[in-house]
Amino acid sequence: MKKLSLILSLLVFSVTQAVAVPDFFEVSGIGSSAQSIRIGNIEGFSSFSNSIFENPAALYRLNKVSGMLFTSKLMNEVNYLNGSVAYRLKAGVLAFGYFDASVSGIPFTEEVFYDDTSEFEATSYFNSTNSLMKVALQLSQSETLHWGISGSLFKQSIYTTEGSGMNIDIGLVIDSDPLILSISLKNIMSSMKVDYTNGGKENLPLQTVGSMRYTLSDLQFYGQFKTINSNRLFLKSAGISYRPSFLSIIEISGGYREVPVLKKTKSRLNGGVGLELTGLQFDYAFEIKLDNDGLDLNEFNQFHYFSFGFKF
Amino acid sequence: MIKNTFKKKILRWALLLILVSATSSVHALTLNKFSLNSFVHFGSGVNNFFKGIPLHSTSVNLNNKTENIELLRVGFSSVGQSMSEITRGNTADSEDDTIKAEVLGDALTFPNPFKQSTGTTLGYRLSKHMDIEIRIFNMLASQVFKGNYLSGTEGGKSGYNKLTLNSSSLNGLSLPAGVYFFIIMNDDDVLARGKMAVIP
Repeated sequence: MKKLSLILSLLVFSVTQAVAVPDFFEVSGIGSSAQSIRIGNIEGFSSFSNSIFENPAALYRLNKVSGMLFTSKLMNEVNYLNGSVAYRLKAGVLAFGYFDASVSGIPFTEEVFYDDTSEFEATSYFNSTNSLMKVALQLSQSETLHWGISGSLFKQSIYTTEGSGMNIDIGLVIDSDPLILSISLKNIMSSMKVDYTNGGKENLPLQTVGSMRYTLSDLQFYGQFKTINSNRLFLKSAGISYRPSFLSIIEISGGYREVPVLKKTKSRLNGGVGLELTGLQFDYAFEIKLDNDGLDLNEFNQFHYFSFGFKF
Repeated sequence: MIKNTFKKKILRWALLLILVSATSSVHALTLNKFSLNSFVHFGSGVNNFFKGIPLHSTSVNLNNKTENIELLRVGFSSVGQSMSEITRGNTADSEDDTIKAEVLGDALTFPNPFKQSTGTTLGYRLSKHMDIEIRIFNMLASQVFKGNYLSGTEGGKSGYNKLTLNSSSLNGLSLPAGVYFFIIMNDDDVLARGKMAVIP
């Protein structure tokens, strides 16, 4: 354990980031499932294949096979969608995942001149897609200690400009029920960047995520800290879930999370419900901005998330 | 006889001049109703007029002459436009109450997509002078920019408005590449919305 702590500490503190280049926008920042979002986007405690987007070590909870789909639409404009599958092999669990955020109908414009003035006109429309593909392998050292590693392929397409980049995540879960700890390091290859066809570059900054779950009777308490982007923003999350022992197919949750906005953080409140029926899982989560910047428009302040998963 | 006829002609011209100057004075008395913005527009028109004339405007080169005539026309056109705006200013207050606050046509950025280092310009046409609030959101629906523009100033004036958006608009912060969403508001009403794409 001491060696492990030393390696993790070295990885966290030795990685330096170039601030001059902007950070790549990662779609997974929204959350990988409604199940995770309804507890404040706490990562590492899913028992489905979507763990590939959170902490690959958490895939150890799979029995044989699992799949999950997640969708949401923000501001009636941005479509978020992910799908993942995982399969248990003799050595461990192998998983694949795809996540994207797409926007359509973006105007390509031209300037039209009239005598001494000019105005802008849309001459065509284009789509933009930001995607993430992942492949992961999970290995268990013991009943308590679980490892995982995943490779990520980031892609972004904006009109004629396309960008792509690769990186690696590693994760660890220490399961000593009723307390479970999850630690993941994302984008550990700090020198890797997203390269664009127009010569532009964007950072894939290291993310460190530490989270815990403590079970007390029918209640589960969650807490998480996360550092992201080149400014090393510190994000906090907390959540609570209630699964009544007399009706264990239902789980009701609430949570709080912080999201990055340039160099600052903003708070959001989460809630939702999950329904588990013989290996099938249906989840709904909602999210409300705690600070709406004085804007009273529901589509910019309230969001809804849905996910469906299975495991056998 | 010739002298008398000449004197009469001079008198007629003098009377005509007095009449013209009197009319101008009456017109000038109504100037106190004009808004300061009208003078600003007029000033900018005059400024454009003088800016439009290059130092070589006395050139005898035919091509240059043609060019200068075009520049003069553009210059006068700006002044003329400003004068018409001043004239409209007399009734602007009463008209503004009846005109619905709206963005006419589409609100668009040019260029789009754009590099943040070079920036883009947001253009939209307002139906009348009004206070305007512009907000920009990223793909997580988080607000990354908010700007307020007073009625009558660039951004809140009647007609076509152009606002520059670049790194300095965000205090030097860099936006990640992606799609951003803007809304144009007046009194908490969304008048227009649009999208723009940032490339690295």
